Amino acid sequence: MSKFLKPYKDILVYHDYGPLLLFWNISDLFNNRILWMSYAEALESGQQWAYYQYVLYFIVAAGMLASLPNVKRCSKFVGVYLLLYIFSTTRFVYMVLTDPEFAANPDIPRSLVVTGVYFTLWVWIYWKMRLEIIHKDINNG
Amino acid sequence: MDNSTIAAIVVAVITGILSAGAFKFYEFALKQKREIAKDDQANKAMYRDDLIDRVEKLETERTTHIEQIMKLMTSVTSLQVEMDYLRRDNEILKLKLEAMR
Repeated sequence: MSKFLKPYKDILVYHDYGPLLLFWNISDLFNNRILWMSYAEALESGQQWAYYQYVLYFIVAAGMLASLPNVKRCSKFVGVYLLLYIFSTTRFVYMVLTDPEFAANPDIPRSLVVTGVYFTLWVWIYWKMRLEIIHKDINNG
Repeated sequence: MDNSTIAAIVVAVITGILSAGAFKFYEFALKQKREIAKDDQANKAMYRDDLIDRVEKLETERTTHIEQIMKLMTSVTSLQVEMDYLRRDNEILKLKLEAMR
């Protein structure tokens, strides 16, 4: 079993996050709802807060894409993205736990699993970036 | 602002603060580890340089001593030759003295 898992562990430890982040950012920007939905529509359906959240996601993703060559600056955007992610996930989990009507949605377990995987992905990217910054700092200082 | 938003903000802020602190601590620990490794490396380099100096010094001394030994051996050989001559002269003189008696 460990022989089977080792290559996956090596991928996580030794492979770089750069290309993944680049493609993810582009996909995230195009996938953002503010490009496909107007504020008036959001207001009409009572989702203005979600719209603001998507605006924040869009700004942070754009910043991440723009600062991709500068790991120090990019890590700050990734950090903010992670915080936004934690914020929306906590809000979602809170609603699942407190609102039985909301929790009855059959799509929730799938959403939670996908959110967990994406969260792990962002934590991995952030961890790799921070390690890179620390090692650069140590080697230069 | 509803309860879920407040809870989400609190969790996000606490996570942010804790992870920032954890990273600072990890950075500090890594830097300390690197400093220790650097000191160790510097000590090893110092020891190596000292060894190189000592070997150079000993080699110079060895060459000087070999030269001195060669000089001494030459002197000893010439002294031995001279002593042989003197011994032979002494024997001849002894024989001459006995013949005169």
